[in-house]
Amino acid sequence: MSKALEKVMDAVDIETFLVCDSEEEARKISMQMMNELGFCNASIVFIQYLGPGARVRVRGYIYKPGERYNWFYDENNSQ
Amino acid sequence: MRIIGVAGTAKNTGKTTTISGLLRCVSQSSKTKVGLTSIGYDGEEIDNITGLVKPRLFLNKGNVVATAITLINVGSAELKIIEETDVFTPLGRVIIAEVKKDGLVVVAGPNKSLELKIVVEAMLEELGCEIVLVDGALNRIAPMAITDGLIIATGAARNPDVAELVQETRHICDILDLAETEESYKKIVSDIKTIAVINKGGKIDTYRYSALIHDDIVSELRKIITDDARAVYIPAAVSQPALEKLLEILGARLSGFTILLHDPIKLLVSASPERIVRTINKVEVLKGRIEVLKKVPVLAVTINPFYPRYLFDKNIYEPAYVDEELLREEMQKALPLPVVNILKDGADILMKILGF
Amino acid sequence: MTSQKKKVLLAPLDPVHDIGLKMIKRGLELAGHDAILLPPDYSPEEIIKAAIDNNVDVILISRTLGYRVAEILGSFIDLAEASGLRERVKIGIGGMAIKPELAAELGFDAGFGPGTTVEEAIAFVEGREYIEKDRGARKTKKDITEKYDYTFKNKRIEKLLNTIADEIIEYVKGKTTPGIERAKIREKMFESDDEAELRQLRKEYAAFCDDIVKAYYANGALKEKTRQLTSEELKALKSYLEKVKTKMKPLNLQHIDTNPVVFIQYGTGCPFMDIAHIKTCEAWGADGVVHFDPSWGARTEGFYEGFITHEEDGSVITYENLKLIKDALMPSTLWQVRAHRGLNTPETVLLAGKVGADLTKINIAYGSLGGGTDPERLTVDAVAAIKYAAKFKMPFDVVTNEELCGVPAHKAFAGMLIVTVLGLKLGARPILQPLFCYSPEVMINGQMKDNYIDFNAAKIIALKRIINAPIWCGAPIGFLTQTEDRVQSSLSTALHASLASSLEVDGISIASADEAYSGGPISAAARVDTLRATQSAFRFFGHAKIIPTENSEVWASQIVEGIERTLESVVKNGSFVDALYKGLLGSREEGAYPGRAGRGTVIKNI
Repeated sequence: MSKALEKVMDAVDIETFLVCDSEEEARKISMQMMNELGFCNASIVFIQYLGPGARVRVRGYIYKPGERYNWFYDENNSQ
Repeated sequence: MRIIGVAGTAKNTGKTTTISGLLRCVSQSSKTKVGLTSIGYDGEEIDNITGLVKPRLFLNKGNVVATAITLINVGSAELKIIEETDVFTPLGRVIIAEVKKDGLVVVAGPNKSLELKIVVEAMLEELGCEIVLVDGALNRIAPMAITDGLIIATGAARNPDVAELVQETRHICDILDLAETEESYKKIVSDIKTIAVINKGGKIDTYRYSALIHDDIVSELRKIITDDARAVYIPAAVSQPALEKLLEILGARLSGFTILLHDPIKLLVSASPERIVRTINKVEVLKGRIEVLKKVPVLAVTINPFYPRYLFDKNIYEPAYVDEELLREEMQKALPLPVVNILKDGADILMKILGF
Repeated sequence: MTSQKKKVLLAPLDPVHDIGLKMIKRGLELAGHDAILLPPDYSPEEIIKAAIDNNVDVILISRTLGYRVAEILGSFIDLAEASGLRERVKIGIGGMAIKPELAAELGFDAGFGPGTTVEEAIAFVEGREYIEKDRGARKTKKDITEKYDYTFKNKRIEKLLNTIADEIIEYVKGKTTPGIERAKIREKMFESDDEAELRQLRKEYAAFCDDIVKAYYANGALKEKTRQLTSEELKALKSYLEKVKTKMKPLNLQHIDTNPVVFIQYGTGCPFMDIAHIKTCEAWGADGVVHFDPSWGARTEGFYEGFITHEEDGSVITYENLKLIKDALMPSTLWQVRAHRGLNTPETVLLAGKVGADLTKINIAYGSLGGGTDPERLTVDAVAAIKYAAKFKMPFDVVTNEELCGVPAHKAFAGMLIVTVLGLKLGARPILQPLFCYSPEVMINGQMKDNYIDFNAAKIIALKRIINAPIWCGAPIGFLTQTEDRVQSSLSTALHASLASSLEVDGISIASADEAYSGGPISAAARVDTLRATQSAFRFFGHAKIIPTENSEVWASQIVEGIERTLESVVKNGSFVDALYKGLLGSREEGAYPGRAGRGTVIKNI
């Protein structure tokens, strides 16, 4: 994980507008985009397709509850 | 020479590198106790404007720093507060501290002459500093009037056109090198706080303003300048356009007339050095004189070939350099002063000039 | 006025006029100072001349930062200094992007960025050191029950409620439950420091627990997806909190005094993530936080002990876990631990009280009709729980979530009012918690076909016609109106918050912008979104009101009549518990099913 992403409290949301022909396509592009950005387990929070394309909000969790959050551990006392 | 100012002509001209070089030399070569303060705020890790990483100031144990109280724990140096001054900055009260453990410091000290003087004197007299370095601030030089000498840091970041840069530097040095006036004038104006006209026979007419910065002020001044006037003393700022206006009013009377300033910085703050020099030249051509009570000598000029080049297509800055040899040669040709590239030459030459 | 009269020059070093300077001018004049506002676009020389001519004490410059502005400001200061002004005139700079660091670099005496108050500028003018008030310390904890005397305006309803509440108190006499027994044992454990006695008490406690909890007391085993936190983790929490606490400068959501206090709900399963979210919400202005425990916790007899993390929704209730949360809170933050619906109701209130929670949540009607607990069991448990709440002086809200199952508002309110009066009789301070939601009732009957305002308003109007009691809209407000779109979601929350405020309620619980998203845990960013939206809505409305249509009055009357009818049927039925089974407070047809958890566990004849 990159040093910057370690500082994310829980999730990274990518919000954008995709030029596409259907909601299905928008879903595919969204997941592909997240994959390309390095988020393997991304999920679509919001998607709305109309004429010119789709408004999307896609999320990649950096930490889920119960995991080891790197921002939580002070540099001095972490393992 | 104990109070040395380092003024940068722009961001990234090497002001901080120059001070760092001096600090390193001082602590390596001798047991000299150095004081450090700044009339601005320096020491940020990343340059506010360009996003490039900036070096910060490193102080050795035993040295002294005057900075805002909110910054004492920001750097890695361990500081012990020796004195809390009555001087305030937007970042809090200025304190004088001794370095207990080597490390980086972030400095924001007094930002005006009077307060800078108080703090620097305390560093010299009470804390026993042998020399105090005053870090400059972006686009400001006025408080440097209280220093004993200036090092000017300039370079491609100010202007990547070497010819223009050299010419401007020369103009700055020329202004700062304005002739010191004769003792008699110094004596006459020593207690005068406002603009004053010195007439034949020693009669003095004073005026309610102390700065000559507006056409209206010049127009009013016209009324008290008679044919008997021999000199005009301006204790505060003189703007270049106002000075031009004064020349216009004086006309032929300028011949043999003295325009007396407190110090050259009072003129330097008003316009581009080029325009100021043009006006000074005009005075000389018309056989008048511009003199100062107190010089602020330029001790050396440091040069930096680096500049952040803006890439329009990417909307970022990238590091770039002008020809270092060319810059150095042209600068040296134009100036009767040491020209130093700190990164290449180190700060030893500066140390010698400062008498170490 | 404490300081001398000052003469201040206000100068916009800008091509346009700055509204900030106009506000400061007014503030300065009200404080008795002279303020001169220069026209825009004066040159530095002209400003300095004006300062000299007017013999001012202070110059305030406003300037929007932009291209070459640092240069302009730096040379202005240089010129001011060279002109001899700075020895007697203080110069401040205000504008967007102005930070103290920049003001220092530019050589000003002070810098005022966005969010600067007029008071701050006046302090600078008067030469007082402006001490930014510790916003955290300035925030005070609010008791939302404080100004209420619980007098009934509807005497008929009052009488009915008294009859029912008396019947309940009579009903529970001589009855106990495993839940009550566990709470009693836990109380003894708090009082004992004798290891042998504690071991014995744990054994007794375990006897009243389900097998899954018994296993823990026998050999320390925890159910799957839960584990004890390590000491390294607890140490990290301590240093995390120490660091965060020093940096807290919480915002205020309220714009006017009558804006309700705002609660958020947390329960990620992990106490650390909970704490990180709580601190985030506190910083962005949340006044209170509500602890959500896992759903299995409500259906399981008995609590674990120790610091436990849970991989799924809901944060496990143990004394230690609650203590972690409590220690993380700002002193001003209201904290609610819910006890409303499960088999551990009395012990939850006990633990909450012991740890120092401010509020709890108890409702027999919802807990047994929508929460899955047997009506008889919960009735007996709730009376014990309310007594604990009274003992710890912890107000409790009476939630009406059975509306979400399909129970009409008037029946849910009847149940709520019964528990409210029961609470009053037992010496507690109940809070009404009507829902602000798009409920099945209105979906079917169309009360929200035109707008979301009228029916929500009708509920509040109805309750206010009945009793003078605190109202806390839940939970969360706007439930089922939010979508996965964070803008829509935040907007809907903010509008419901504004409606609640317009109706002058005392508290609201708000969702995050992730409310309608079910694909993963709520993100911290989604929490910030709705807090900001709510703050913005409060700012927008101020004292202005939302005006419902006449439908709200009509529906309010219908709700009051419905409540009365429902209560009459309960009184007629004789037994409250039996009325729950029979569906008088919400029937199976309406979607309410009397819960089965804990059925037959009430122990009689003691």
